[in-house]
Amino acid sequence: MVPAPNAPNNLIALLRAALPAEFQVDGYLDAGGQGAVFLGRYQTQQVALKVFATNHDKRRLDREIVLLQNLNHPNIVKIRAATTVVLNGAACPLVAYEYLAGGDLRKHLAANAAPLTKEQILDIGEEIASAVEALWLNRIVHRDIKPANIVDSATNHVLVDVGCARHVDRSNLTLVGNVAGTPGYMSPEQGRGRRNLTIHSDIFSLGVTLYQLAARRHPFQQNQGLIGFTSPALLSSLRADLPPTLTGLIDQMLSVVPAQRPSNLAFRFNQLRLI
Amino acid sequence: MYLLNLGHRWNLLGTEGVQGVVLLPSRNSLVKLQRSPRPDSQAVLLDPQLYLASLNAADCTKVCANLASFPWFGIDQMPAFDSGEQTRTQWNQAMREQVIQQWPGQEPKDAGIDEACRAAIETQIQLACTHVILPSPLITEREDEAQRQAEWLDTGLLACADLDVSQPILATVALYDGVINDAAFEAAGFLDTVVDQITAREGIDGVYIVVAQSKFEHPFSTPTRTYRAYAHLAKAFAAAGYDSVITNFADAFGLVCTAFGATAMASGQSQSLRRLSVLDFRDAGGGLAIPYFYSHKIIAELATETDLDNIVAKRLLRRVEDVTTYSQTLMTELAKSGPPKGSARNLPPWAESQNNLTMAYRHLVCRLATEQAKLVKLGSQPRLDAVRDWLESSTANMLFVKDRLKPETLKGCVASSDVWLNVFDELSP
Repeated sequence: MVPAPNAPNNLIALLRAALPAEFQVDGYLDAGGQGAVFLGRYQTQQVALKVFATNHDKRRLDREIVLLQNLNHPNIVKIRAATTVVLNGAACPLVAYEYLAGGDLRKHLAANAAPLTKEQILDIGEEIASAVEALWLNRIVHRDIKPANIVDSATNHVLVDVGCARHVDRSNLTLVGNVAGTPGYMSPEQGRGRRNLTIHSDIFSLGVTLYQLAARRHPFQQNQGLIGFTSPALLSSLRADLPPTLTGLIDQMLSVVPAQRPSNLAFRFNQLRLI
Repeated sequence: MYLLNLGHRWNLLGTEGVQGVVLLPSRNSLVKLQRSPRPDSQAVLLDPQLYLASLNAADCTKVCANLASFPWFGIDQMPAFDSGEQTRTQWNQAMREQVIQQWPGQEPKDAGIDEACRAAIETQIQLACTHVILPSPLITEREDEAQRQAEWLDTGLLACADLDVSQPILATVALYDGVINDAAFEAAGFLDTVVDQITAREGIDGVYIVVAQSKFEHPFSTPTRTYRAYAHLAKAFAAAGYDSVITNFADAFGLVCTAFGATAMASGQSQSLRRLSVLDFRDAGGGLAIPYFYSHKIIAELATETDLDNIVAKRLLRRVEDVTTYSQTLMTELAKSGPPKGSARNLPPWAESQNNLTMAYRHLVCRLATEQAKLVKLGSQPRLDAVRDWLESSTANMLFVKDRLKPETLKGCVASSDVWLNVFDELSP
């Protein structure tokens, strides 16, 4: 078993002892539902080391690793290496992602943070939509898009934590009732436990993210139970300074019916720069 | 556009108003399609009918023998046709004898999916079809969430790219009505899942929608959920902006789908070409039919003598009259003031005798084709208005006709236009 995340020093020591020689661990970054994340090095590169819980589906993870290693998209976190480490007698998958400094988008939700400008919203929208579209070309749905999973790096925005993404052609890998994702950000269909999600689900989650970042207010009060049953206030009513075409596009991303969400999203965000 | 389903007989090809055809493998072997002149129509489609892969060959031997001649059903042991060795009738018989043993009763799996998709696409190209319809299995389980359909669709799209297909590509939505419950119509419900699977994919120019019925009803007595599904799907796909949204086997209800944005409807002349019921494919059944006159005003089929004579006697002709190139003489005859009053029995093409069907068939096809062509020329709101007017007036007309005919009743079948109106109201803006 992976040790509890409230004991990072023990974790670091445990991991140091278990890591192959080409990996080093320098510190503790975060813990999520699927494992813990450490700051470290792979060979000479600084990396984020993610240790997956033993209950993480290894076959799925293996496929995603292969795919992401080949994807090479500027807005999707890159994988530097992958291996398995034995912790307390349990074999745990470990993935070394490129380390992205800059923090995630939650910083824009802080009480003292300045409201995002139109340009910032367009940057995030276009770049993450581009990432989502690239994943979907490989029939992968991220399933957990939210401010915490978008890193604001020095040059662009990068989608991270693709660990719970899944291939749509491997429906047998998800247990019935095992809904991956974060309440408040999941599309209505994802919240209902639908397995074979499409890009439309990620577009919904990105819409929630953009709405929250723009309005600094969650459209559904972080309550998954409200999604699909209530309509959020129109974004234009909260950000009248933004172009209606932009707020309208984000509102459309929150459509309950998947097919009514916008397509060619990266292109559409790009076109809005001209307004 | 109205597309005519081509069954065994192709004698209605030149019917006025018909702009296209749908070739049906269940009714035509590949050999027949390859050796017949290509229909001279604006649109020629071949429905791969993979959704019939689970038919029982023991009960549906003739149909399965036809289907087995197409390579995408995954049978490679069937006898090849050699015109120097046998007649087509002899070959058909040999196919029927073998299909009972060879028919797999399910669609190809795994690597067979790619082979099947390629074969279906290549065959449509070889037959000079104007569109390519991608094969898709019948959706028979809600729990599957249209996953098998999505796998076939992805494989088909890859094959189209590989084969450099230039024709518009249509995705098939083939739905078994048993999977449609009330919850299926909810937002983000099962039907939206089906739509989601298609609209999320690039490279699709349109959709081809069929809903298979578990029952064996007249096309005018189709279960309400089937009508709702057709309308819901047509509206959703039209809203997604596809160039082609085609319904088949919805019969006259295809006009309601046209109101919601369907660009074309396919149907046929006989009941088995107007509906999709698995029971229609059994070898037993069929039999001799009598002609019925289609009245668009009341959405009904009226026995040409039994019903129309009563209608004339009760001075109700104006309520049901329906003039096409094919019904003009009948309308003129019935309008005779007499005595004796006009009757279809005086017109051999319309006499109520067994298998005297051609003129009634032509009239039905022409009438629906003409109405569809009129509708698609209208803008979206006038189109909705026109269909609402039609449904409202037909409901009122039928009530009046039935009341005035008492104590007589109609021998022919009447559409539940009030049910159609409810479906229309449910979906209209």
